[in-house]
Amino acid sequence: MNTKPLTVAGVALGIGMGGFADGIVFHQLLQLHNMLTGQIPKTSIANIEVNMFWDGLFHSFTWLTTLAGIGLLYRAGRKQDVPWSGRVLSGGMILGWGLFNFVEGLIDHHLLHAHHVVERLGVSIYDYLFLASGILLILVGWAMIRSGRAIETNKSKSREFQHA
Amino acid sequence: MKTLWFIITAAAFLPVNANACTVCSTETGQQVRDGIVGDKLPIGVIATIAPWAAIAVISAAGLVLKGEKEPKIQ
Repeated sequence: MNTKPLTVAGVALGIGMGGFADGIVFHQLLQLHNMLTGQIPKTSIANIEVNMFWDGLFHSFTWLTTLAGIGLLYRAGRKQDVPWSGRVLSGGMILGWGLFNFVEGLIDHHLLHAHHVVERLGVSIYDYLFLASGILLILVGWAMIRSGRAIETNKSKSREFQHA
Repeated sequence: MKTLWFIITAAAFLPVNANACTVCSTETGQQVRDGIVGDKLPIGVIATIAPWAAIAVISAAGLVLKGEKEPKIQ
């Protein structure tokens, strides 16, 4: 039994979809920040255009990562020794989302100051909550993957016992 | 798996080249050339690429370090 391909597919999907969640919710729906508002405030049409361009580039990356995740999931589904575990897949996706939040938050919000969660506040409690959400999601995802593996291993042992 | 990561990384850089041509033909592109916002563009490149590069490196390192530990059924 091999859960790694499903885990990797889930993590890639989680990174991509975590990026989409960030872009759709924070950039577009709530309009709390854009990709470079920490450096280029939205005070003119030209600045808004530049931010929109980098938002587009950001979404290109999330799209490609999601596409890679779908490809990996397809490959995992074709392997005989990979158990089709919803818990492992969703655990991987949650872990991937957490990885995105933590790494993107650390680099863009705190190191580069490219943007902040609530731009008008600068570095605020929301940026630290964003980082904390990343760590929490990584831990929850990791726990789900481990428990999914344990369940699948037990199922596999049980089947072996019945065949013997 | 290594080949796949190479493809993902290479593909991730394609939009940078594709959009570089697009932006230069727009009004914003003209302002970039005029130096109005040009000094801010490098941080855009870093801000967009660095997190993905970091995630790719972390993921690849995790895969390499963890290795295959799953029990195998004969």
